[in-house]
Amino acid sequence: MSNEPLLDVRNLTTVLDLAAGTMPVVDDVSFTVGRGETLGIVGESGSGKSMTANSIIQILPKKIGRIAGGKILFDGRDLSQFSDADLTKVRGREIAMILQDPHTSLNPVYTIGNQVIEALRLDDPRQPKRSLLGKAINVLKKMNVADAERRLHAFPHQMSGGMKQRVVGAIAFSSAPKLIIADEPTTALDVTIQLQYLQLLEGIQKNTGAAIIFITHDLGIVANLCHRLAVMYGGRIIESGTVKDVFAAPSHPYTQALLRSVPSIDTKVYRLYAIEGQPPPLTEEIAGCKFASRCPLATDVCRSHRPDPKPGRSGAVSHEASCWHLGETL
Amino acid sequence: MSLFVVTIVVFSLSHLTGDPVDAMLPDDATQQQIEDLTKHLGLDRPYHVQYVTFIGNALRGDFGQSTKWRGKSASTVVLERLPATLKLGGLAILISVVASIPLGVLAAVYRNSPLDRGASVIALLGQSLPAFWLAIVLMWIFAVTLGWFPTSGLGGLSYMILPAVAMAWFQVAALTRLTRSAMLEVLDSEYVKFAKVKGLTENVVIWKHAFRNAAIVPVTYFGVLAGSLLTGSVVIETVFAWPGTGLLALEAIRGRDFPVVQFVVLFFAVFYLFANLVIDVVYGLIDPRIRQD
Repeated sequence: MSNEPLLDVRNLTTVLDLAAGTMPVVDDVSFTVGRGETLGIVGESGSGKSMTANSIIQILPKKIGRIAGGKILFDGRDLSQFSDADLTKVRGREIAMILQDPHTSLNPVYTIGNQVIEALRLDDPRQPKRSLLGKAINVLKKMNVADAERRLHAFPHQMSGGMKQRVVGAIAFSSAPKLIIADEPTTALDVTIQLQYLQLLEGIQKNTGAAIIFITHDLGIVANLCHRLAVMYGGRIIESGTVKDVFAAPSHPYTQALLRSVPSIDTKVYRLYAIEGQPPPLTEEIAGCKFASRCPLATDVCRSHRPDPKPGRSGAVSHEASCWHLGETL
Repeated sequence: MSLFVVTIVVFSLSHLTGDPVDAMLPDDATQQQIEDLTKHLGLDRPYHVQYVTFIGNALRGDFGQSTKWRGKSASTVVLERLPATLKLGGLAILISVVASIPLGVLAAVYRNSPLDRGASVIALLGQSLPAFWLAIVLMWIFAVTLGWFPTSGLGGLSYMILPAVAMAWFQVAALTRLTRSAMLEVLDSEYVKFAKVKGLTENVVIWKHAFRNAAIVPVTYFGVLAGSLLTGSVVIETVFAWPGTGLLALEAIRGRDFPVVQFVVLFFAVFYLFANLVIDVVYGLIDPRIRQD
């Protein structure tokens, strides 16, 4: 049991049923997350990284979004077969989530205390108020929320963005979840606050042993915080492996391009590398590789046949990339 | 300030409708009788003098004697009829809120479902049917044909149901649509998503987290609602011969009973202002951000 990964997503496909047609936003995605491990999912906007996260705990747009195939094995149970009532018991307790914008993730009309206690009460609805208050102060203190006792009576609009995101983190960690999904939790924060927040998450992770899925487009965060990463493009994972292997030997042309477009303090460049063109619209059905239209290495086979995952250039077992031209460098 | 404007409008309008002396005296009254009565009522004085006298007396709580209901002050005449109107209006408000809030919320939660479509049909009907016509149709079906309710008059709950439903329908329509659109916006918000992610049940997410934020919109409309139920009572009370202030207002206008008309309209205006004051207080209770401004 303990050798099995905590989360094992197999061939997950999530579609949106829109008036314009059915749109596969997550397209045959497979990955695993071990206990206590941090997986980074990287990709540009619309690459399907948030939709992958939302699929795991199934908070897809009502009536429009649905899981069309695949399995989501969490602790041995297939979440894709769960009813909404069963999922409610998993959400918050076993899998928690931190959303992108702290200014909008807390309800403006309730106090911080109300919103923290509400989450704590789920573990045992009959707890007396006083012990809940104590626990609430405790979880806030763990997230370094200054002056926690007084903050319980504050409303979200009376706090800074960084402080609010700490409260959100405190709520997420409050019931000792096995997995935390952090969907760009630092994008809306100041750069100085970002680092503090990430260190806080890392510290709590070490103490609790929770696994984290970190969704971001910031490769710097991935390099510092994650053990492994998966690169998404057009709803598919096109490369995955340990952070060390992928950064040292990026194998997919998209990953190579992505790493090249990040400024470095070691080398002096006058113009940053940019990937030509735009991602193809998700409504467009593409038989081959989704990156083919922007890829300088693309040939006929890329446009007609979808590449399967193959061992990446690092040679490590866990490093895989889906490309027909793995031998070539951009 | 708004009250001051209302008094001028009321005063002018009631004088534009004609001379009460015509209504009070028989058709064969002599010129002498007409002049005497005009003088007695003070109607021979210039309009601005009449207005100032009216305001001065009103401030002292004296709205004058009714000219139609002899021997009673205007305020007594109106206040005697008030309980009937408040009962009917209260029931109509109750029906509107009880029907439209759940309907609007559920229509938003189950968007595009048969329930949502049903709610929009009800809303469309309510907003396009004139109240007096609906009142007559309801009376015809449920009172005349089916005999379930009495057709008209003052009485217990059974007398009130048809007029209250006729009054409430339009409001149900408006409130349902407002509630639905407010809920749709809130249900899309991140804090509702986060509440769901926390593991709260759908009921808690909808009613605790979403509805309280959406409630501002229907509450705003509540001020309009309270006012329009009073004014709407003029039509409905007439159709159902319900002896409230609405019916009284009509009788008073027909009888050129200026003091009563003025008091009724002023009372409606004060009621409306008061309802909106209450709503401002309720805003603060709902949303802490408003409380602190």
